[in-house]
Amino acid sequence: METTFRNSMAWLHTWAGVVIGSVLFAIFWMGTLSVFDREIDRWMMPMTRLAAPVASLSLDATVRPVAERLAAKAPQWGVLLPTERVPTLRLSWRDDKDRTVTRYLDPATGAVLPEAGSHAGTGFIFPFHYRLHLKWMDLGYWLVGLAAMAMLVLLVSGVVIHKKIFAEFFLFRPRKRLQRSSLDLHNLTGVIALPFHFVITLSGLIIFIGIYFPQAHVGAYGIGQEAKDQYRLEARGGYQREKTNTPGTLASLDAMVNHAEREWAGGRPRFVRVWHPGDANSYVEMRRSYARDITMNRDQVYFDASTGGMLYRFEAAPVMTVQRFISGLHFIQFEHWTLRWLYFLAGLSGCVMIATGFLFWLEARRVQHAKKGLTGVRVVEALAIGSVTGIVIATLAFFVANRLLPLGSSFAGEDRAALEMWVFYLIWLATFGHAAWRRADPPTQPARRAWREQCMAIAVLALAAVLLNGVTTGDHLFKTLTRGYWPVAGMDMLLLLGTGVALWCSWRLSRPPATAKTAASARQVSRDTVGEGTPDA
Amino acid sequence: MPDIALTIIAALVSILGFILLALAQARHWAAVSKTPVEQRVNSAWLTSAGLGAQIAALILTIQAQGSSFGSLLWTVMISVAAMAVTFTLAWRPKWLRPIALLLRDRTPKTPGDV
Amino acid sequence: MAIQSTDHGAARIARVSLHVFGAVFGGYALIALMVPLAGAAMAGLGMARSEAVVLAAMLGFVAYLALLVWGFSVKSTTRLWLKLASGAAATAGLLWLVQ
Repeated sequence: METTFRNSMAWLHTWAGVVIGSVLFAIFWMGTLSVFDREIDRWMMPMTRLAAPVASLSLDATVRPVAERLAAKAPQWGVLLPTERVPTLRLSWRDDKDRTVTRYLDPATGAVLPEAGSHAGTGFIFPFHYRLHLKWMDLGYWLVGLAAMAMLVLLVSGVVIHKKIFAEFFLFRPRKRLQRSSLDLHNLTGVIALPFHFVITLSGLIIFIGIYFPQAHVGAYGIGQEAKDQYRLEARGGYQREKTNTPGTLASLDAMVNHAEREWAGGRPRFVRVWHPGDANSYVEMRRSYARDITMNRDQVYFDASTGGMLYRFEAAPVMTVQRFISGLHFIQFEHWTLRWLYFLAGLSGCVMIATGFLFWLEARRVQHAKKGLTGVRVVEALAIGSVTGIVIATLAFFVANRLLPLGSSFAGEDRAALEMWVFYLIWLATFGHAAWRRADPPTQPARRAWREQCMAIAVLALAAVLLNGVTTGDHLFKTLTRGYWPVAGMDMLLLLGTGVALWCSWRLSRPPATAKTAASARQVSRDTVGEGTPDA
Repeated sequence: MPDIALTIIAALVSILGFILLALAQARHWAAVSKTPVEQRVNSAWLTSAGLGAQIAALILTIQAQGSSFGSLLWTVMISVAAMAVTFTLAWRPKWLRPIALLLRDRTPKTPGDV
Repeated sequence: MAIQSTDHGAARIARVSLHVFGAVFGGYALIALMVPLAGAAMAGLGMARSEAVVLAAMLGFVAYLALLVWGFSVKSTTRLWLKLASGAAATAGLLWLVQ
């Protein structure tokens, strides 16, 4: 739309970045946290801080009595088995009002753990990442999809417009003025981690082919519900049979597990579901663990409940397996700590890429807008601050609220888990208000007060979260480190690291720009005249 | 465990490779070393060695972790390695001085052969 | 009509919006029609039906990316709309025939 291809890409990169940047940061931030969602669960739900899972778990002894007591009349009940990162059993069923009920069980004893009263990492942070908790008409899914396509376009256009991509590959000049150093950091995080950013974005979209291309099957299968069901069956497998409304028994689940493991050549189950419990036509579904492979397999085995005999078995076909491999690249459900930490670092680099993109745009336009009396920079700056430091503050407030709200509390009809989410949203909204209130003055300067105060808030809240964990649960850092309870120790340590980084940022922002420039040029002069021996700044 | 040691070696090989790629560029050579860039090993050699190191790192990670985990690990690892080298160049370039010392080549060169 | 550098204010915003809308939503509509058609084509060429559909859907995102890059480099908004509309019409027609 501009005169040259490169100019069009420059326009596209700038506008897509400014318009979608806030949503992209939220997705990347929540996504990066989701790498450790199970660990966040342990931190936010202290009753689930159990020892490593018992190797030989008997479903018949631990799960079945509880399920038959609590879910006796449910049309189905299912249990997620413990994994390396999740020490609990997760039992869920549909109650008579067709709502899903979930209870955590201790796998060693089968005891039902007290209700957590929190959505924590897997229930709030992770779903926020892929649907922004906007359920009305699937708006969240579509907005995330739009943002993902925008990210792909941003990556492509970014490479096109980056003329000196090889010459500037290793270039980062942190002591230059903000416009230059933020562009350097933006280019560096964008180019060096380009394979990660591209694959993570495209794989995220590919996970949801069913949502983003819901009519993909109509050419090969035809229109209508039957065609759709047929496609689903051929692609994903599945078995069902109606209940007979005559009583039936349930054979040994452990024997069925052993049978499934033989079918899967040693692969273990991750999920077991009993359909029509107590009915003569009851059947048991088992799905295979994701621990060993990148591919999130669709391997499933169904057993007759009364005899334990195998009824159905399914494995994904080759192209479907590719889709599940690509999905697995994104979900990272496999056991691999090195990769998990690398993904976390790469995710953070994505957050830095988006934030520095904003910073660069703001600095590049600031003086122009101030001269012309335009409000663009001031509006985008307030939005950027709320979207970047603001969402971090809201997340930390979510953690702090989790430690402060008593179990079983409710207010105005909202339960404890919902109250935690309210804290997140209200604080997030407040950060936008704060950013607007503390806007740049004069407008030719960045809004230092806003950024600095929000950095201080991050430092305070992160430290508060660590202290509150120690006080409210007794699992303070010395205890978790000496006992080797890594999920909680890791979370506390990252929070403390965040406190340090936020304090440093706040300190850097409190130095007036004039002093920084004078100091830098003074150091440069001394370096040139004295040479070696001058301490590095 | 052998595969952790091999993975660490792969990471170090990758980092070294990126240091070579960076030092192939005159600007980064000048930040690291007092030796003039004409007295450095030819940039084509450094670039080839740097790229070759990344391939070597890939082979090592596949050997250590299998083909699918190995290649995935390599893909993310090289980004972290390159960033580590970049931040070192930005804040502590003198730390790379020992490597630059090994790359000096004081044999006389024809003009333009840098 | 192309977006002229002499356009200002409301006229420019209107033209740019039309261009963006066309590329983003029109482009998506075209891809959403092409995916089932590609699925049918690959199934017709011998691929298992469910496999063809999954492959077509995965490729759909890559095709949409290419279409977006093209759409934003096209200078004329009118030409963009015409090409997308004719592409969509042709694809819809073929899809209906395949049914």
